[in-house]
Amino acid sequence: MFGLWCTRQYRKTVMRGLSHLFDRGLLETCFRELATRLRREEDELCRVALLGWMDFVARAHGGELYRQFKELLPNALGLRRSDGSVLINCREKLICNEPLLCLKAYLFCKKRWMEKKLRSLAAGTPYAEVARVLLGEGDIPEECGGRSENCAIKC
Amino acid sequence: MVRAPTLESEIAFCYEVKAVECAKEVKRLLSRNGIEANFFSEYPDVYVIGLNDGNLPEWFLKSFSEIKPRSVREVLGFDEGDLRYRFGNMVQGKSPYDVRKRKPYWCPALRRLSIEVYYERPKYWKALERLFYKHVDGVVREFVELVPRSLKDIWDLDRGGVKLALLDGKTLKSKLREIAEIKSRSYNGLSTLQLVNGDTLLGVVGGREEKYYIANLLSGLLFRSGCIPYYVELPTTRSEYLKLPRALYVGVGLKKVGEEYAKGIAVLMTGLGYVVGYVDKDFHIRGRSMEFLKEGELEEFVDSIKEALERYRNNTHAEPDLIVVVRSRKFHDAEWETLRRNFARHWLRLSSKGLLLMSSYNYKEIGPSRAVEVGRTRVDGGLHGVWLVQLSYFNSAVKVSYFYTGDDATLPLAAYIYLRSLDFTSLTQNRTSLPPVKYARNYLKWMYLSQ
Repeated sequence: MFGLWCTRQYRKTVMRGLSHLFDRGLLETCFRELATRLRREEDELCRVALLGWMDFVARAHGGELYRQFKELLPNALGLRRSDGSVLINCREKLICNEPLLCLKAYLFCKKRWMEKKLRSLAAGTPYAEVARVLLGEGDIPEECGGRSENCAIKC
Repeated sequence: MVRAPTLESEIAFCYEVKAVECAKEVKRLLSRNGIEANFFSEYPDVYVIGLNDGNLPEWFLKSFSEIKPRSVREVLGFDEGDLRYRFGNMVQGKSPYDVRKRKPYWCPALRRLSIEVYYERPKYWKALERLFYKHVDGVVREFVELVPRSLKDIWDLDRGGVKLALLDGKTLKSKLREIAEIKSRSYNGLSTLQLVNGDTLLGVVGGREEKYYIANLLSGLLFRSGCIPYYVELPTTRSEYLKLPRALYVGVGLKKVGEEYAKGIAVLMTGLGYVVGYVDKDFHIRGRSMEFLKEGELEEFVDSIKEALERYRNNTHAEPDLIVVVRSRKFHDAEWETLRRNFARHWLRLSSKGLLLMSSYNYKEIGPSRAVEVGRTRVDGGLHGVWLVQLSYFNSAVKVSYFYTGDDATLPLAAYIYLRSLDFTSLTQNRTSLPPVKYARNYLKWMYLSQ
């Protein structure tokens, strides 16, 4: 499947520091579109999936876009306390007992042990589907609107 | 609710009697003065006072201090209305009743589920079919297939697989013993046979409760087929409460089955609401209070549960973060009568580091969405305490009595709310009994009826 292959390859490319090969204009357009969809999306799991893609795009772009993403992430995940601090402790193993919280925590903390927990989620469940998005192995699920043409990044 | 500052006040003379006897004396004295009071045997300095006109005499207010209930959300950071339910296809719902519109969260096989429906009269099947097509969305109907079968003989129900039986109300009475035997044989912690009174079903058709009725039935059938109809998202980041989704729950019930015997059952359930097995044991008992005659029998029962826990650990390679033992009132009372405060030491063999023992039963009204801590005591190995909690749809509070090896006295409240939401056989917000205990009690009921 093109989307799946593309996403996995895309993530590898970003990790290898080859992100300069991507069209920066397209990355910005994709990021803005995802941000607009995020504002409308009420389902938390779909929000996490959208943020997962925004994470890849922002990392690939780097610079200002990545700074913006880091800034919006705690609020977008609903993890900001009223005093400005963040609700999640990245070293708290119990966070991954609750799969939705584990997905959010992974986006925020990017810990290796969280990745292992996400991979162990029961296949076929909605959480496992979104985990694949965050791990760079899946696309935004169709139930969340899928990935639009603006984000059809050629790998 | 009020607390007496000292029990040797001018209210009652009870310097040299036991605290419970003193509390009885205080209760009598208050009653003579027109104040209806009840006390807690675990904390005899705490009383629940009925406030008819809201006014209490000055002498009373001088002697007692009020313990004000707090909102459940204030105590826990969330209440039962904040729970969210995750179904298949990414869908999140606010109500478990969405089960009739959404694919289940998880099923052991992705193939279509075929459930045989045995009907005693064709009109029962017609009524069910009508409700199913009217209220269950296509996405679920594609996944769940109801296969009608005319019931020729009651023993037709005594076959493998998940079945729904639509029976005449008279048959349910006249063939009770046979039905009970078939029902008990269908158990493996949870029965694979769902019984429905066909006449009740006919009464539902055309009424406002149609969609709720079919949602309950569908959820129960999915559950009996090994599916998890929905996943309950716990709206918290508090690490103590996050033990609950990965805890293993043991629901314990007790039923008198003879003059001197009682049957005890323990149903094991995961934090996702999935039943993984059960253990049973005969107890010698005495009198109406069903005191255990032999303490060793309770030890043997706990040992059997421990073996079942070990099997679960080995099969799943999972170590639960917490073992929660939830007991029916009868079991709790029998333990209390026999062992008093020491009952926790038997259960500590299940897990000395992460064990919550709790029992819950209906109590008096304290106000909707309110909780109040009656008391807490540090005992050997953990915390013992009592809460009253009244959820928003309830007319009365539930008394939650607990022992916990950890430090967070609010965990039993969070566990109570979380566990209620895992009852896939009754989706109503008014449900009171907690699922693993409910399953244990149902099993005991059918086992008793079949003998």
